Amino acid sequence: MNTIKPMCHDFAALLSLFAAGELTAKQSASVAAHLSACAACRQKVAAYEQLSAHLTKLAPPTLPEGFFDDFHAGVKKKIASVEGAQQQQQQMAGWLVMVHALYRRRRLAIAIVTLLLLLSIPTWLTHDRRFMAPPPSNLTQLLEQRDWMGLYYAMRNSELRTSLLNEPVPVQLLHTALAELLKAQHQDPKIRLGLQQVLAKIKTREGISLGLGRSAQILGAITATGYATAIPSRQIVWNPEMSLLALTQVDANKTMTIHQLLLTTNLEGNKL
Amino acid sequence: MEIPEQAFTQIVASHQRALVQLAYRLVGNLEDAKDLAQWAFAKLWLNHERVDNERQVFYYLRKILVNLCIDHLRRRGKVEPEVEFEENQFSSDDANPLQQLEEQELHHQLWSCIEALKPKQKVTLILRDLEGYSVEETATILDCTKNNVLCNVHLARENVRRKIQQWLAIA
Repeated sequence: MNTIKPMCHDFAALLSLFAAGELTAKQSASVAAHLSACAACRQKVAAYEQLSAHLTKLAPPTLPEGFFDDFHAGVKKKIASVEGAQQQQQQMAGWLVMVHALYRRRRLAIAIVTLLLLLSIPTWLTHDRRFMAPPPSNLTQLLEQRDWMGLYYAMRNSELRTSLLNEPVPVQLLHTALAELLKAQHQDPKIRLGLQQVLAKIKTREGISLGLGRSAQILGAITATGYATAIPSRQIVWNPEMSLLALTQVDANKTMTIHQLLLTTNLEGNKL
Repeated sequence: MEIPEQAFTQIVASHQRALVQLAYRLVGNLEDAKDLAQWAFAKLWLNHERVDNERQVFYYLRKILVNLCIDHLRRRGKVEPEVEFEENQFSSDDANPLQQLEEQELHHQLWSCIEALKPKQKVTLILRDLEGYSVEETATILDCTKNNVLCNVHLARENVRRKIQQWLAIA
């Protein structure tokens, strides 16, 4: 039987290992047999042996004096940094677990929130009831009592407003309201706005619903001239100074200022 | 195993020089070598449950260090090594100055060739031929088979030999 004679490339991967004594006895014998007949491979082995000798001579690093003095401290510092980071990760993991638990029990969480909302409804109703308290239905009474807040909320109610606006009110009472409005101009802008809203919606005796400016004109002119019923609103030329003077004269001894009223009824600060 | 503080201090003291030397040969920079060796000890402390005896401590430290060094080399990329040679340590006393100079150049060239190797080949060559670990020890440190070690070390030697011969032919 013919056997194929091994060639150099068959031993190429073994030569460095042969030079370093890393082959098994059988492999070494095989390589040695080849080397005895192959000068090129012998040269390679010699080169590997030379290389190995040079590699073993490569010097280890020369460490400076005191190189290891702070070595252990450096190790501890690194350990502390890792442990600190691990603690942070654990805290973060704790939060994530809580969020996950809430997510898993989301139905329970939704039920609790719904229950809380239901329980808070009576509070809302009570809150609303303050604004829903029935005001006096009589406009004259409201003006006489200087119940500006009641008047304001009565005017906000569309059904009540209709009946209040159709109610005949003594002109003198309206004069008083306007006088207080004018006096309040420099005191409390919220009060003034509230009264303006009220007066803007009150019908005059002529049965014409006017805006604030026209209401003020009419009332001012009536006060100034004293011809409340005789002068049609369209013919009035308003003189504000005159109106104010007249109103002051009329109301000086009869009315309270808005500011005083609020102080005595402890309503200051509330929105009118 | 639970490592008491005192025992850990002793482990650090007994292994620090070997680990710094190995790391230095792998990364070629003394400060980086120190830092990586310290990380290896820190990891031992933090993962003490993975070792049961001194032998495992020995291999665990080197295994961790080698992996840290390979990661470091991959992150850093190829840079010129800072390895310097102590001429008195590799030259014989009776060698003349010219021969010493030639040996210095040869060894510098050797380091350049080793630096240019692939990380696995480089690590295997350094562990086997420079640090002097046996094939079995190298395989344990690198967590691979003995045949892998032999294969990588052969490839490394072959690459270095070829480059050195080319350099010698030019020189």
